[in-house]
Amino acid sequence: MNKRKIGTVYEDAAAAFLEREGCRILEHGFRCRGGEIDLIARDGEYLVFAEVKYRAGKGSGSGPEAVDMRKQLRISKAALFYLARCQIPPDTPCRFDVIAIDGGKMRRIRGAFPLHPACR
Amino acid sequence: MAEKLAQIKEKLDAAAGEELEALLALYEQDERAGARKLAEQKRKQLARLAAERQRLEEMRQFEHMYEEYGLVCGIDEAGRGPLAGPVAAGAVILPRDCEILYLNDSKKLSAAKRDELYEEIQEKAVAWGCGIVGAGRIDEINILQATYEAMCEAIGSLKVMPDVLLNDAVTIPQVRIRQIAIVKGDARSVSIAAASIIAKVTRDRMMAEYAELFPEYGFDVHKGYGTAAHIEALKKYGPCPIHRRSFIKNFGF
Repeated sequence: MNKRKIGTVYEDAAAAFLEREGCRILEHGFRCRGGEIDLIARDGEYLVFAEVKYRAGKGSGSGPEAVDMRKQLRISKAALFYLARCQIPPDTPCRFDVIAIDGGKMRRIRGAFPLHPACR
Repeated sequence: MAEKLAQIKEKLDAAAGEELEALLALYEQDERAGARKLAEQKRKQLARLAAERQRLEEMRQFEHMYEEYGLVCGIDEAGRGPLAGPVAAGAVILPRDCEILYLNDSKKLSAAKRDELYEEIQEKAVAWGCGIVGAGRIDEINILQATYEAMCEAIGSLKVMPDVLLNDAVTIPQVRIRQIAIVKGDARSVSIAAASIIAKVTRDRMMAEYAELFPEYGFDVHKGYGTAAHIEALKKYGPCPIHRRSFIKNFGF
């Protein structure tokens, strides 16, 4: 199994986790020219754009929840594209979540970051 | 989508490293309790394996300490206490960072596990040797000297000579090689543990053969140790050629 496939397995795991938490998965690995989003889900009234971050084993360094600004920009761009393409009503509240997978623990950080300033 | 549990188990057993981590994360979120259970079991199994590797690494502390001197050889003996049969000594040189899972002091292992490890040690060892000194010689020179002789024989039968010996709390007088005596060495050093298994299994197998030769005593059961049944048989039949006269004197023989 290569890196890409491993990433997909983690995305599937995160999707199953969100479904158990009562979300409905709309998109898996959504990508466009501006960027990509691992999971898009409906969580009650919210539309959630989720980034899946994982760390196998006990490597050091930043926590898996850290999403750098460059990545935040790509996710933001892709989110705006998705909103426009699917003609999501403008009053739909949106949120960027991070699903952090670290060994056996899976955590969800709701509203992990705001829309990137360059997209506002 | 719905994978059978048997397929999941197969997949988990085949996977390793990062891939396994990813699959565990996935199945831990599975809606079926059976799949989550499989993932949980696999995680526990991984934790046990990690703990075993940790234990073995601690048992390599002396090997690491002396590896700069060259080849490190563990020495141990079996059968110093029994009333009958030989004393056996094992000598084992393991490769650096050799992994033999569940390797431990022979006294802490079942006979079946010792047999398994005996094969694995011989497969993986750089060199191994065994020395046997019989009851007659034990009576002649005393058990301690006989044990030293068996140890020398074990070292002599190695196909390469070691540079350091790790011993279980003894120092062999006849040997010129640097020796390190480690208290409770058979539980603290992988090389000594391996040597203890070679000695123990070799001796036990000999005792099983003696049991066929002298069936009255039950040597295959007690291996010559002074159990009640053994002493009873001694009283009834008297000593046989493999009894250590110097030991059974105390029992009035």
